[in-house]
Amino acid sequence: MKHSKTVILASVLALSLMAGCSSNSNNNPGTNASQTNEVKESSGTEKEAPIEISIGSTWNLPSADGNPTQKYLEEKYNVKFINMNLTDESFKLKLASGEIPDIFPGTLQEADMANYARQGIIATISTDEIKQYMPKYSADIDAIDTAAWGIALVDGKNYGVPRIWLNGRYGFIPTYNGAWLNKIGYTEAPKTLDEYEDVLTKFRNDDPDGNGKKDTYGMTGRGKSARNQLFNEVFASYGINPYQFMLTADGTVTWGGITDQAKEAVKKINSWYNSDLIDPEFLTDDQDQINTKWNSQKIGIKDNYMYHHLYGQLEQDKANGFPVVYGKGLVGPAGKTYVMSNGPLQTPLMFGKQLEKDDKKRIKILQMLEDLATNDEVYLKTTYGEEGVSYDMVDGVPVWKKEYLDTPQLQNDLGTGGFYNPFVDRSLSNAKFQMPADKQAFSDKLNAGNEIISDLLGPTPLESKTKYLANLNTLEDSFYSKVMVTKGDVDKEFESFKADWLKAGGQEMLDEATKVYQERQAALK
Amino acid sequence: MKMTTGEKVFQVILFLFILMLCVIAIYPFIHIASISFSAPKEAGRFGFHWFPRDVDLFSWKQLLTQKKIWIGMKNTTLRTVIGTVLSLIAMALAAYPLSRKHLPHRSFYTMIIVFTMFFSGGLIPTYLLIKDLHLLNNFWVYILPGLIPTFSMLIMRNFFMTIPVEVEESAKIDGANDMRILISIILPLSKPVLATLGLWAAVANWNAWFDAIIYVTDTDLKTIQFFLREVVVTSADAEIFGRVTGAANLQYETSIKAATVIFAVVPILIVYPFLQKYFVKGTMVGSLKG
Amino acid sequence: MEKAHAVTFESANIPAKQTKIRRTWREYKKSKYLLLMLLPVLVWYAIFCYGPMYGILIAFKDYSPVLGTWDSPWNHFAYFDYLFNQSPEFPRILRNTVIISGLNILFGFPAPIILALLLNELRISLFKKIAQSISYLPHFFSWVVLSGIVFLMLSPSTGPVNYVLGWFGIDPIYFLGDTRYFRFSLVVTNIWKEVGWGTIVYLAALSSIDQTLYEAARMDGANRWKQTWHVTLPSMLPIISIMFILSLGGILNAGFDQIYNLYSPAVFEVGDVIDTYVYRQGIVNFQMGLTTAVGLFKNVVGITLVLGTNYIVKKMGQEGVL
Repeated sequence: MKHSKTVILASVLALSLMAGCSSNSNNNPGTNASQTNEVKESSGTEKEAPIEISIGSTWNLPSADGNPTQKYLEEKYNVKFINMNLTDESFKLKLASGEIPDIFPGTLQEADMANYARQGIIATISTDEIKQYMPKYSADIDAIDTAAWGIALVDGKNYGVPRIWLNGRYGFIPTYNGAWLNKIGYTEAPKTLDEYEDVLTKFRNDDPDGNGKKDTYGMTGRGKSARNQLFNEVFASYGINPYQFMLTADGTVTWGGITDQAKEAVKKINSWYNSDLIDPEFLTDDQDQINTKWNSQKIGIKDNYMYHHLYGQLEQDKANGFPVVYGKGLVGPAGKTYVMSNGPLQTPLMFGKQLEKDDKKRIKILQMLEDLATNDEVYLKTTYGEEGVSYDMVDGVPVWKKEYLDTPQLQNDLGTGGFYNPFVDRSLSNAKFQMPADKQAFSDKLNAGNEIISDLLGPTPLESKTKYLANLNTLEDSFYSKVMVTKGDVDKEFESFKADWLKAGGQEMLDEATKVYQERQAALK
Repeated sequence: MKMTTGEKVFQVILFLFILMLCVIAIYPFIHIASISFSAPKEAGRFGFHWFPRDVDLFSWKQLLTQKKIWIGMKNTTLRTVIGTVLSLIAMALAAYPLSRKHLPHRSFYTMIIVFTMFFSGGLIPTYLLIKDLHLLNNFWVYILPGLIPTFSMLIMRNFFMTIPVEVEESAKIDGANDMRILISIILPLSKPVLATLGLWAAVANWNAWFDAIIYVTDTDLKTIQFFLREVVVTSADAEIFGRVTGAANLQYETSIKAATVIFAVVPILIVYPFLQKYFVKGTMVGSLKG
Repeated sequence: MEKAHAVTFESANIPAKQTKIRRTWREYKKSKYLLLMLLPVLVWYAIFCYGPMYGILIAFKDYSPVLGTWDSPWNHFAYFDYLFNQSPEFPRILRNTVIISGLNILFGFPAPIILALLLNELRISLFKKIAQSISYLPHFFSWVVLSGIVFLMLSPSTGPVNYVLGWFGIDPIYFLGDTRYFRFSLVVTNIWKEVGWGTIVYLAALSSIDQTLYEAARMDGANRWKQTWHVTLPSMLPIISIMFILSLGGILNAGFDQIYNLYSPAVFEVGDVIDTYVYRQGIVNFQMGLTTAVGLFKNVVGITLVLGTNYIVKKMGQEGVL
């Protein structure tokens, strides 16, 4: 009896071990090709074999191999693409199974970058080389924020091509129900925090929808998730956002959520809540609720969108049937028209470790990226396809032909978009192509005059962030939920929270942030 | 059968209670279906949706003209039918021997199987295994890894254990072997259990979405649940949403999402009514103690 | 299973081990069809379940995709230490997990049984069939889709539940935003979603009850309640037992999908469970090892409970899982 048991157990274990051992070979799709290249080069006169590049992007996946965009790029640059066709979940698995793409997806977090760097998954790439092969792009980056060059640093080495998100230069826009504003006697959006409070009060108490019932609120908020957006315009009028690093007067880094300004802002919100001016369900509301309440005129103010979302909402606004008034940042104790923004800095574009050694491939990729980002023809071809066929130029801006808008499958068939061009919406040189005249006008109207408050460090990897941030945010989320609706002493509760926050790793995080920030400032001089 | 007054009252109360339950159970379906047929202003309205106050078929037109959702529906249907049938067969092949007390080393086999309900290697080694078995981007990846749901199999086993030994013994005397007994005697007596477990397997197959995300990159193999996730969980970003569903008119976002949900759910809802005949009282022939 | 060790003339000359092997071989030959049926099943388990089993080691390692499972360095119990000792939240999330799961089992387990019995009592067959098919509808929608509707239903200002409470003079309750009611809301909405679906297996059991037992009981003068108590429930005990044991195995899975879609920071204190906590950790970091470690912890607890209840159930005379 025992003997047979052992046999069975042993064979099962053996099977398991075999399965485990056999499948851990590193499988880099590109290595073989590059070796062939090196051999062919030395033989001289024959045409070079195309360089194989595997793309791990999860954005705008093309319908099939051999699409026009792919063919265009392959011919132009003498490369061959391997579409890994990943999603965010399957990407991590591919990594885990040892298949490391040449080009990584753009949707990663800074903690991922730090981990990959330390685990030897991504390649170091010198900023000098980037500037050499991507001169125009580098100039674009400098024009927006030189801090972008520091984002890709891990332990002093650079791990990717910096990226910026153009819309990150703008902030969230306080938006008002125009019909209601008129009803309570405002001809335009409130400009100061005091005016805002007045509007809020009248939206609640003065029956702005004229139905004889007190069933309207000034606003609700995103209490359920994305807490950095909750009441963002109010915090901005005090000069902060509770979920961002910011600079103090003495050159150190602090966290918006524990500042005195935050405390004052919370006191204000608390007084509004206790005066029944804020929808009490804000604690559990999210985008869905905010939007439906707005559509149905249950609330008169919303703050959950930036200009490009609002641009997309124009048709729904028309359907809703009431005028929409866009406001600027509220002038409050901070004295300026501040708006909250997530900032233009993004995690850089990373490359698989194999590119460190493969100079040819690396340089070729950099050259392609430069063109994709800054060359008009290449940009248009990879983002819109063929002029006259898939798009028309209208006043210098490409406009999709009708069938491509109605059936986006056709766009995927073309292969246009973020998959082959990681710089869609992220290239200053080609920003002009993303903005038809009316959208540009809309953006100017909404964004002009607003000064953004964004995170001091952006997506910089910090050890202490990895260790503490999730817990610190939980602590802050819970506390803010309580303190905004409390009937107790806001000052006292806030001070107690601040002490807890610092003790729970917050102080350590601030110290590290200060160090990194000061190092960066020194490097830029 | 005459009812006493007490019983009549009970029936009325019961009826009302069940009716109320049905109303709150059916509401989500009505709400979502209504939104799918609503024009943008109505679709975006806050509150309850019992019927569309303003009907617009645009979303359904948009949805039904997309090639890929029909591909998804085909794949999902195929995997559900094939997967359920094969699952039932595999479960029976497992449950029957394990239900026979005279199986040598019975508790050992049961133990190593139950163990797998609690301990598994996790995503990465499973992914590597699937890869090594050449099941990536292969239709059978939808069937094979999930072939035997142990929970269900144990239920089948326990049910087989309630069939009296006499039945088996008399068949053996007539010269039948275990395989024949299983097929000709045991299974016909197990219709309710087979219907239940078959339904469970069918629904599990129908609703599965994670395997389509991680094991399959070929769009022609994706399931309807994959496309549903894409649509419902997608960001509010206009550009991304337009890419996924074709809403050149973004105000249809809400109703397109609703239509996709309904589309993905209706086919499987139709299955149970057909199986109800197996759940009628007294389908058991002969005496079977509980 | 093993026959008693029979002492015969011949066995004096044959070593005990060989007799055992021979006996086992004979038993195997007798049950050869059964084993033939079982063989492909075992092969399947070996390949698909035991094949990847080595992945449990990731719970004890500092996993790196480049090195793979075998070569990644051990960090032994680092994740468990982090979870139990270092995360300030662990006592709270463990408590929430157990309480919510416990409530789900306490109320959610009997609910489908009771509903099955009630449905069984309906006289109008058509209504019964329709009611069955409708009651399981919510099961088919994911929590992503249902949560919006739940918020609507439980809203303190516009929800019908509070509306009805108003008839009884009760002030509106902010179910999903109030720490006093959140867990209760989770349990009730979970029942709403799953009770209809859960009745199916019990209806199957009910339909296999021998009708003659009922006739016998009626002849003994038993009314409906007595019949239920003495015939129906005992007949259902086997299926109820095994469903109960198996549901205990998942006690530390408090329902991530539901909680994630319904919770908010306002109710973290009572609603944050192990899985939601680990999920938030994972957003900030590539925490593959931590997830595996947590999964392992949950499963160890699960199997312990299953073995424990299994033992008790068998002692009570029912068939268990093992």
